[in-house]
Formats: sequence, C-alpha cells, structure tokens
Amino acid sequence: MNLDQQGRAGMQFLGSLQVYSSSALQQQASEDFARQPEAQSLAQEFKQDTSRAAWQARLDRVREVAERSKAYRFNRFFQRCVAEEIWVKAAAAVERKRAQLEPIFAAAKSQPSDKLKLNPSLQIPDFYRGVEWHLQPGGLDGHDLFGPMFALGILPHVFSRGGFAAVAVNDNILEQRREVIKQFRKPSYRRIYEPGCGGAGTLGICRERFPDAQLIGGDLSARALRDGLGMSERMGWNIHFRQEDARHVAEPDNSVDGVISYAVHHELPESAAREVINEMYRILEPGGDMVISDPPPFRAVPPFNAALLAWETEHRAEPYFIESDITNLPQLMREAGFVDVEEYALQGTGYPWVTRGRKPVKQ
Amino acid sequence: MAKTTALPERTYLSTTELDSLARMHTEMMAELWILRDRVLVLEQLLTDSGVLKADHVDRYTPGPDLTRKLNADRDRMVARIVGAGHRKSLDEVVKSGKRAA
Repeated sequence: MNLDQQGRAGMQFLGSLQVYSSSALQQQASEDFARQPEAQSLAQEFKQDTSRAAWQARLDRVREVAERSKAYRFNRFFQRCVAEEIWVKAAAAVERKRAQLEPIFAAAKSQPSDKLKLNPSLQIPDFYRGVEWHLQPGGLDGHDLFGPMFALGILPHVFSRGGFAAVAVNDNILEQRREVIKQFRKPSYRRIYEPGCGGAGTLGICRERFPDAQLIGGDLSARALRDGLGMSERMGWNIHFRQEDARHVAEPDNSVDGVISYAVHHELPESAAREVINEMYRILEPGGDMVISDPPPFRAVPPFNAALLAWETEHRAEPYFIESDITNLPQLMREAGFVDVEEYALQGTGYPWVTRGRKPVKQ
Repeated sequence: MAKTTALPERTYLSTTELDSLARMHTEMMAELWILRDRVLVLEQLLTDSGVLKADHVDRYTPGPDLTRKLNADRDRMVARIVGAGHRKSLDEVVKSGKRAA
C-alpha cells in the first residue's frame, strides 16, 4: 500500500526541506559558530565533564552563540516546521486510506494472539504521562493510525533521508540499526529482550542476525505493541510482545542472554535509566550482554553539535534528551554490576553511540 | 523542557509575525511542490498512454492567441502579488481595475 499522489508529494517535500536545512543551512551555521570569539574556549570546556547544573549553563551559552547566525535560526525554524508537519501531512494522507487500513487492523484485533500480552491496568510512569513524544499529537497512543503514518509516510519519505535529531543527512537508519546489532559480542544468542521496543523495528533486525533466538519486546504503548505484532506476523519474525514498564518486567531472574536497548534512554530521566539498567541486569543470565544505542553524550561532541542535540528537549517534546546526554551510562552500568563496559561511536558524527557491557560469569 | 506540541514561547526568527510569515511561506512551498509533482505525473501518464510525445510540452511554442492570454494572465498575477505589498489605497486598486475579480 502507498500514499496517494498528494500524500506522497507532501511528505517528500518535507524530506527535501529537512535535507537542505540540515546540510546547507546547518553547515553555514556551523561555520558561523566557529568564527565566534567564544568558539575556542567552549570547545576546551566541553572536553571536561562536569555537574548537571554546569552543563546546563554551558548549553545555554552555546545556544546564545549559535543563535547569532541567521543560518542557524532558519535551520532550527525548518527543523521545527518539519517536526510538526510530518504528523499533520501524514495524518491527512492516511485518513484518505482509512477505508483500506481499518479492515487490516480489525482482522488483527479479532485474532487474539498468544504473542501479545497487554495489561490494561498498567500504571503509566509519572515521567511518561502527558508527554507528546516527538510532537505526536496526543502522545504515542494519540491516534489509531500512527503506525501507518510512520510506515507509509514518515519513514520512507522523510526519516530515510536523515537530517533530524542525531541522525545526519543521508544516514541510512536501517543500516545503522544493523550495525548496532553487530555490537553483540557473541555469534548467537538464545533469548533477547528489548525494553521500550516501540514496535518490531529493532527486533526484526535481531531476527536477521540471530535467526534462532527467542525475541521478546516490552513497551508501555499498547498501540505500538499491536502495530509491532502486526509487522512481526507479516514478516514472519515470530516476536513476542508484552505491555510492561521496563523498570519492572515479567522476565524471571537470569532468563535472557541478550538485551538490546535502542533509542530508549534519551526518553528516560536518569533515575529511570538507572532502574532500567538494574532491571536488565537482573534478567540477564551470567555472561549475558547488554547493548545500548542512543545519541552521543555532550562530552563526546563539539559544542555546536551539542546545541543541536539540546534543542530536542525544548522543541521536539523530548523532555529528557538533555538529561540523558549528561548521564554517564557506563557509570550506571558499572554500578549495576556490569563488567567489560565500553562506549564508542559507530561513525564520525558520533551517532549511533553504543554503550555495552556484560553480566559477569562469576558474581 | 517542553513536553507537548504547544509552540515554544521563544520565536525562531525574532518576532512571532516573522515566524508566522515563514510558516505560511513554507506551506506555500509545499503546495507548489505538490502541484508541480502532479503536473509531472500527468505529463508522464499522458506520454505513457500515447496522448503526448515525450518532451512535447518542453518543445511546445505557444501560438499568437495563447501567447496573448498567457501574457495578460502573467502580468495580472505579478501585479496582484507584488502590488499587494505596495498599494497606497484600496480605492486606486479597485478604480483602476487592476485587481482582477
């Protein structure tokens, strides 16, 4: 199924606008920043980690310097425009397809599956409540057709071209996921869990690499889990889904040998990130591996790039982006008990940024 | 931190009016592209079905009648758009008949 001409062309326009803004305008903005008298001293400061309050003050100064550039102001304007309009245009486009889409969803709902366990009484965490993540109107469950909006409109015509958040222009986000999955140290795994799976995207790529593993995804969003099951069944991925809080999952102790956490930690305050890491440590068996992929921490990027990342918190309804980019994930993993903890970028832009560790065999 | 779709209090382009104008301009760009895309699709469909030859539209030179119509319409469009930002009074526009119905 494809969008009609109006829907396709409208989404493709947004993709082109984002690419131009995130390449030509952003390059000019970066050059303007480098010419500012504060650029050198800020670059030196960023090499030293510091307290949360001091990081916030640094980011405020970086933003003030960046905003002197007309190119930066327009770049950020267009970034916001696209971030809003992907939902506006995609919603209009898939509404015209509703008559074709609803029977598909109805058929899936009428066939209960033992691969999907929903929990209608699940308490949504306070830090999650009321957040319209990524400017999705009504939040992640705010529209019954968010799945098709993303699959038919936003991913193929906008996100596939890069140029948003930490993703550089022309980055192939599916290939990036494949590269992240390759960071698992062993050639095979028996059972892999993904907290905050948001659907089947990452576990589907796990299926490519680990064809015999049992795959389980947990998430707070019933809508995302239903969409994930639908995709998993269509693609033959055989993934199981559970509606649960990643801080308290149904998996018993020592029950999985792999955990993949993809683009989740930047949506958690530090306290919740710590709880999730501790919970994943609990369910991993001795010798099991955890791989986390997320945007890079501020200490690993130049000041101008930090301004771009920090912008997400104020302008794209990513309330914990700044906090997570200050959080020291390797430290949280070591405090949980993980060993062989390391962190590194998979490409020169700093994204994806991988943090991985192993539950020790002897404890 | 911002948690919702509500617009940030700070503007992007120094004033809220400028932000609004830029948004209108961006939406016009989108509409322009959607229309251009549709015309290209139509040309392709007409070519595929044999009604048009490839590059028929590109090679076409308007005859005298169509040229007169195109010139008049184009001049009216430019006058309306540019003139909308430069007129001194509504009277002069209406009385001169330069504002098309």
